[in-house]
Amino acid sequence: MRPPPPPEAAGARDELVQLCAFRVGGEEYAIDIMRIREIVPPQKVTPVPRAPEFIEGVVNLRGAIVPVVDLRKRFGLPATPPGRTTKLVIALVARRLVGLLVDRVAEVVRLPRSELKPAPSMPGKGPRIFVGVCGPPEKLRLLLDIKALLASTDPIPVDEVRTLARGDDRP
Amino acid sequence: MTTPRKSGRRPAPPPAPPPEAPPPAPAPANVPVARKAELLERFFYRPDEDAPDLGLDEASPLPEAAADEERTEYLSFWLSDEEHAVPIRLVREIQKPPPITEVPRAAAHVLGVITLRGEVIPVFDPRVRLGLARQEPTRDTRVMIVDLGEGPSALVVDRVGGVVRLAPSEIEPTPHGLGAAEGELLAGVGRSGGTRLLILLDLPALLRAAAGRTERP
Repeated sequence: MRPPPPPEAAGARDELVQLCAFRVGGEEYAIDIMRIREIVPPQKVTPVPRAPEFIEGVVNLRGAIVPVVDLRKRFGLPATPPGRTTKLVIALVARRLVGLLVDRVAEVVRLPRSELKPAPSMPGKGPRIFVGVCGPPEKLRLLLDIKALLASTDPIPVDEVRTLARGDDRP
Repeated sequence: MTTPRKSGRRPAPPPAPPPEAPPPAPAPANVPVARKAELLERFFYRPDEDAPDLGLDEASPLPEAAADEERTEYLSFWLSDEEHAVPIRLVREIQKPPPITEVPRAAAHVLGVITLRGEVIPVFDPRVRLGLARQEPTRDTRVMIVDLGEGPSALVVDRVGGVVRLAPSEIEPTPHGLGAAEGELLAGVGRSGGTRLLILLDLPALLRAAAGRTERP
């Protein structure tokens, strides 16, 4: 039984990756910057009757019809009206566009791939939308898998994940 | 990153772990190490990734997403109520402004230096070089760390905008009538969506001017 490899073993191919971090509720999340097409102010959303529950509706982005997910709502947080910093992050998922409504876009960060840590194990069978963490314990960001977020309507236990992420944050 | 994930379309993960991960040691968690690493891979964008069907007939794939024409990604930001932009590949990070240590006898546009994770980075105020009115710092003020390959520099911006993609057809040359000094610092005007105007900064010129000249206005 071999011991797990030391963290530095990844150094040989430790490319830099760029993430866009944003806030929803009191927490920070990040997605691959390669996904981001645009960040725009929130727009009026047209409801679509037969869409999955977590789709608020669609917006018209220069002719493209883009479904919108309100991440506050998706994470089970109370709804608030859009504030000055609320943004719609237009992200690519397998060549399609999705708009993610976030409270605030925090920053763009470039860091070595090795600083992205896999997610802690989560109890239950909820969608695995948090696939990793990055950052120091006081500024932990949860890495989102947008595909999983769109694949299921199950509620997401955000608080549980946060607690686990903090507790399991071992190098 | 690991070998290309050709099996992305299958709902179940591939049975074998990725090559460089050792066979998972029994961990206290019920998810083996290899599976965790696989999950982390899903974070990164791949055009051929499998995406759930949202059942929205109208959610058509964007034509240019399929055949990526030459669109450059810019990061937009505000200087004195005007929206500017620079290519995003030159932007290393954006931070809330850390304390700035002043450098005595520096030019007007050199605000000083900051320390970021142990690195000392010079900070410039692009508004001075561009002849724009200075603004008081607000909650939205940020420093934008750029790197053109010769080390990082920081630019103070009033507010960060967002990511904008511009095709060459959406970029117009810098209009005439600007002062000679400012004109050479611009790389054109971008027009996003037909209505939104972005003043594109020529970062190398801006930083070269910052490094070289020391005359005061």
